[in-house]
Amino acid sequence: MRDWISWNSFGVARDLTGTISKPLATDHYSGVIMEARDFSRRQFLLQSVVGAGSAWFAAAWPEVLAAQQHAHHTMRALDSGAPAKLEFLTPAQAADVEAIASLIIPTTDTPGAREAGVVYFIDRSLRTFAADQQKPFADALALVDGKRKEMFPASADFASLTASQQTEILKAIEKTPAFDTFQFLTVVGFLGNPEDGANRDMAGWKLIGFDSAPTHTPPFGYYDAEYLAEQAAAGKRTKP
Amino acid sequence: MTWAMRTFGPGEEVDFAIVGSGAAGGVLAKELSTAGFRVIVLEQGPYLHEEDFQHNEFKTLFQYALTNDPKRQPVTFRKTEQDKANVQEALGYGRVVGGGTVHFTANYWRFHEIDFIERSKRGAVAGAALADWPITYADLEPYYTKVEWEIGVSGEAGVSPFDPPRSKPYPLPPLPIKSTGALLARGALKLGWHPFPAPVAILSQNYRNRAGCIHCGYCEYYGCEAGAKSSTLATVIPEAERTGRCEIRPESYVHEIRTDKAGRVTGVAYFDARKRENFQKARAVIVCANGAETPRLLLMSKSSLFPQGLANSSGLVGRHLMFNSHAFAYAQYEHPLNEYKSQVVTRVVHDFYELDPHLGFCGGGGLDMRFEMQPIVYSLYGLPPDAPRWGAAYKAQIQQNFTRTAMVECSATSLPVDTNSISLDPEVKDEWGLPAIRVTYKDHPDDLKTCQYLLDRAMELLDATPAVRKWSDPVSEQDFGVHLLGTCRMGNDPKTSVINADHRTHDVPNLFLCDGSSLVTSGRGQPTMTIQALAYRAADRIVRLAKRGELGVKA
Repeated sequence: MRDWISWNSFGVARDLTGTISKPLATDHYSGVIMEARDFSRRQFLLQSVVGAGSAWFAAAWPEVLAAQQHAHHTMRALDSGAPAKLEFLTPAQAADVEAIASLIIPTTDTPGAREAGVVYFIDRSLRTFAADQQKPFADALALVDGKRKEMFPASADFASLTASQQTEILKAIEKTPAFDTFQFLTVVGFLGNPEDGANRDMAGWKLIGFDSAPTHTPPFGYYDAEYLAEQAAAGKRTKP
Repeated sequence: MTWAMRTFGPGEEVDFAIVGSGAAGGVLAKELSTAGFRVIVLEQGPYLHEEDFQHNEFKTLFQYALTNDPKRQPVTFRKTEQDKANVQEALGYGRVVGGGTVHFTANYWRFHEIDFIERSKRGAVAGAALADWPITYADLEPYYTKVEWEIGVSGEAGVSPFDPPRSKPYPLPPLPIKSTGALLARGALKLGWHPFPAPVAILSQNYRNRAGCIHCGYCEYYGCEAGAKSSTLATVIPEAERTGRCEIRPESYVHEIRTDKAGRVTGVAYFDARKRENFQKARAVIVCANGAETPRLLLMSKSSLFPQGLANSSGLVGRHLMFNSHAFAYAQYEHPLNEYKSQVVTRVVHDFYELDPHLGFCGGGGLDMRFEMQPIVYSLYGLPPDAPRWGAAYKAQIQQNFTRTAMVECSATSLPVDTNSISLDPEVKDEWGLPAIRVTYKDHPDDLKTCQYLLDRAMELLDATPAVRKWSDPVSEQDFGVHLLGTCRMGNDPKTSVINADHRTHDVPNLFLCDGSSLVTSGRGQPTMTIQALAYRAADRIVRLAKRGELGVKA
């Protein structure tokens, strides 16, 4: 595995060709194929909150912010060699949560949920804005642990299973609300605002090519640049 | 703010109390205060400013910072009057000073001539209460132009052959083209269509002491930190305050319009930020609370004189609700589009605005290309339906396609259906103890056919761009709306309409309504420009009535 620190040093999608050098075969998915989701992105945007996410944001924003800052400070502490501090999860639970988050967004040749500090965001959220979700979250973890005991009775805990064993367990629960909760929180912790504590070192934003500069200038992407070049070559004004 | 804002003391009577500060309320506040009247604007939501608008996806989209919070103000929904309505998120609207113009996308299409006369041109449509407007496009044209020049609209006249006539060009050139605009232009031209620069209420250059767009990308669903989006918050509201005759009173939730024994409005009762009850005396009231809250307020203002609710002798208050219908197609491309940058839409197609009657259904619409997703929402909801939701393959998907995804939005007609309505829920109450809004809505079959027709065109367009991969949401009946139209329709006959062409209610001489509720037809999916043109026109009519001494107000 490549050292992801060095990956961090590249500039974020400021160039028109983007930051991704390896094109994907767009119709081939090697991972788990999900059944079609019955809600659309549009519905989400318009209704603001759907399904698993909704309960997590019932409380006031300052608490959300506090959770993110906690994650931020914890990661800072980790940087300086200090031990990570958990506020709600036991170390064993945190290890399981981190393992789950790392299955959802794994560390590959680029950073994943683990490097982005997702577990600390989840930990603090359960003490603050999502305190009313402690029970459902504990139930979700218990569901995972129950599956573990059923599928791998000799094992001690989820975190110490092999990656393929962990993946089997997650596949077994991926149609449950428990999985939705894990997936939702992992994505938010991976792609939230870094200055608030999520998305450590902008790991998530760098991965997807999101440039968080406060302003941008045209051309913004490949096709508008191409269009403007064609217009200029034809000596035309900017018209359709 | 360098001017001293006028405030009115308890018990002090104003000339006009305006309920709501959005697209229409803001314009009326500015026009009436400029004309010399004392005006108070009562707004449910808080008074936020540019410094409050942050680049924070999580906070803005998940915290209802700018829109109605369904936990505090639940809404119930049912498809037909025979069904039981259940609590669900069925409506979205701005709940902040500036209303929906703060977070909107700012697509500023004028209605076309057909939208005002579709009933007489097309004839009756079964199952729809289609009617002509009491005014025509020609009546409204000067006010469309006024909107463009007063608030600042960017666009290019004369490119679309389908545009209705206009008396003046746009005051500002179009905003820079984005990759979705370039792709739409390329694909549409290949298909023989007529793409044109999107008219948007966002400044492409500095205009009237406001800065042009900085292309930050936090636009749709966000408040503009630069003041370049031409919301009423950034434009007419500060101008109204500068007259020294207008107070904007935020966190003021009007729940009743009161009347005297003669049936004239005396003022409005409202809850302040601490839920204390207050009464604001006014010589006339103008309700601009949106197509859901306006009929709700009238229905809540029942009295022995108005047992069906205020201004509701026709029984039509709340009826003919129209959401506009929509369809969506999506695509992934070979190269990065980086659509998260800048404002949302740069090119539009209106070739299908008025569809051939021989297709067998009534309606039409427009197509644009856009993306409108930021990292969290994209990674949760932006992938194709068969994409993985987790694991290395999921990660590779978001890595590859966040910058390479686009969509076609089809915006179209909603026909007015008598049973589609806003009413008071008999059981559910909001946090203030007021009856919840009950929505009854089922798209007219023609609207679904129009959407399917447009979605087929959208898929052709994506093939012509060309996309690496494309998919679409199936056309389905809507159970959620953000365009809230038609619920207190305008007309000449008091039996078939709620307000007249002056926006005056047929039943109460000093009560006016102006917002999405006034619309007789839905247009093709971008109503705010028309709401705002109506507001400028209504202001002219109201000033004229006032000067004739009909309202008991004096400038």
